[in-house]
Amino acid sequence: MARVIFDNVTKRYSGGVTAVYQLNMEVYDQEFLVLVGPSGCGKSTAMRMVAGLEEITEGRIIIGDRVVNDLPPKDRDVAMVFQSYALYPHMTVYDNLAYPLKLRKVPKQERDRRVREAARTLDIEPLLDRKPKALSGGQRQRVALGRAIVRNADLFLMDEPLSNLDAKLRVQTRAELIKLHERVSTTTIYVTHDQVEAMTMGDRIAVMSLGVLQQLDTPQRLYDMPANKFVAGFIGSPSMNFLDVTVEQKDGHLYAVNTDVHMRVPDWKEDALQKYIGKRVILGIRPEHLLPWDNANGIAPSDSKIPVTVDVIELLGNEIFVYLTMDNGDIITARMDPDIKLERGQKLEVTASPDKLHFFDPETEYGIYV
Amino acid sequence: MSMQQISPPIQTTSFTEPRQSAFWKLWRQIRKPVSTLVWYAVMIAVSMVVLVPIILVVLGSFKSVTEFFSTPYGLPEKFDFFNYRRAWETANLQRATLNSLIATSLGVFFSTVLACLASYGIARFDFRGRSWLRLAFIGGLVVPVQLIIIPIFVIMRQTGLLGTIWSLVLVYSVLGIPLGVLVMVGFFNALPRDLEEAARIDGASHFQIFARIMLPLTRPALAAVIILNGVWMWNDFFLGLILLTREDAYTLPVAIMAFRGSYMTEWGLIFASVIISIMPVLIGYVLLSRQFIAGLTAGSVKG
Repeated sequence: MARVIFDNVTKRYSGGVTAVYQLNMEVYDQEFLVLVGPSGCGKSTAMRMVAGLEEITEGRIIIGDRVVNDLPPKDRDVAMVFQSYALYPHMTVYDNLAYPLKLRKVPKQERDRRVREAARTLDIEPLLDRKPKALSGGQRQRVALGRAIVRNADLFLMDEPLSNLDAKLRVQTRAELIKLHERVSTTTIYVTHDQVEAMTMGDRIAVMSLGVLQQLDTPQRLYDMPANKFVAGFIGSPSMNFLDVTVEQKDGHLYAVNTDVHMRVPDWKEDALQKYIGKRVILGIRPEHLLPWDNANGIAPSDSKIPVTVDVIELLGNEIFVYLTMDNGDIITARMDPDIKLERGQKLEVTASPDKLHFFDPETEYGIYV
Repeated sequence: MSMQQISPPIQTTSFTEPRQSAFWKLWRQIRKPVSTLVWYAVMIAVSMVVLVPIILVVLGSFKSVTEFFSTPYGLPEKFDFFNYRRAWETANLQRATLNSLIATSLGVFFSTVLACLASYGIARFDFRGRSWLRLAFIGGLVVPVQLIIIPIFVIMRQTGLLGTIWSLVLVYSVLGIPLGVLVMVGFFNALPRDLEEAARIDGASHFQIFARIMLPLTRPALAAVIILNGVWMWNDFFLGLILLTREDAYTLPVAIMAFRGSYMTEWGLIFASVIISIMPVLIGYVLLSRQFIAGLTAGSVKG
């Protein structure tokens, strides 16, 4: 049993910088929770407070049933994987794995059994006699993981453990980490700035910005219903297009309108937007939801169109990124099927399914939902 | 773009050879061997400056008094180790060697231990005035020992250590610290903080982190400190001369100096003693040299 509760946790450094502000969240037992956000958003600090490497300025952190604020790291029963792996360079792989057990006075036979078991799990048995210097990046990464699992700790903390690997190995290790978590099902907090890692690995994702938790939800809900403009822009690549529009009522429907844009609001979102009639809102459309009108096949009503000019086309093989300029100078990005033939300078109309439109309050930047 | 434009046309300009005098032609041919020759001459000359005195000492150590004064620079009549035997057996060099070993090894040991502990604290703990503390330690390097020898002498007399080898051990232990701190603080600073944090989470105490994780990683720096301090302590004459008033406490340099007579000096005996005295340093250097060089160059290239 190891859930982790952040109860109004604040971290202020002596210089007056607030790294984490009033963080409230619960990491469930056996959950794989990803902390994600741009660099400097406080995600690493939040994790380091759980590990005991940073003091907590205000609030409480609870692991299991214990408030750990004043416990030293070794008494918190957490294991951590560092971005740099932090393997002890002068010890062999075997000793690296055995060291935490030795410090905990685990008997020698038991120690040996657990080291070999962890090594077998991670497929590093042949490397046990080597020093870290003689290992490749991927192998070092496994040893670092091994040092965490050998402890049978209540909680795993992983601080960007994949960011020092090359792209191919990263994808591979990502899958292995997911499998590993399924097998050992230890509660895990995983810090990353890579939203793809976050989306693929997390049971739930906590998005942070400027020390404040923005949204804590499942990957799919983060994508479908971002709580605010920051989350909407952070999740998804290329990021969501934002357009300043006014909500207008015509013929019994609501429309998001500006000089170029004319998009009908779906019926089920009309209630939420009622109080914005005649006012400005921010319209968000994901690049992958934009289509040329001619290819739309009736997914959008005929009065929902944005006239644009093709500015730049980027070919990626399996898809194309198209940068489109509107007459008022706004630029929007679309991610389309490469079979859609477009040329630079071509004028066309694009649209998106009304269900895929997002609306944000221009003042608070909160998402507008019922 | 047409194909021709892709590769630029090849220019075929013919040069007319400038007329050269015979001298320059010759010079071009011999320039390389001549410069090599000059370089070797310079290097041999520099080596001689260092080697000749050593060779003379070695040769002199095989000569008797009369032979030394009749042919000071020539080869000895025969390579007989009688001077070495005399120095070792009758001239009390055994005792002096033992004293030197005690003073140097304990001096190196205590100064290194203290310097490591101090450096670790200064490098890895955040507290007020730590940069001043570091400066104070390193400041010890610029204070010439001659400047503080009188207070040292007075303190040793008052503590009753004067004249014994322990006075030297104490002074060496202190005087070795500044160099140790200078080297070790830099080295401890450069070790990644992640290692320390990983060890903390693994369950290590501060002292365990210092002793089991950090210290083993500073081995090259440690070797450099041990060698540099060890060499000056082993060779130190001044402190020994002032503090060691009893003959049975003499270290090698002091004991060798005592061989100089007022009326006649047995240079052969002195030279043999000198050779004996540099042997331990030589052996130590050979054993530690790889680490030593790594310690001095660490940081220049990240490895």
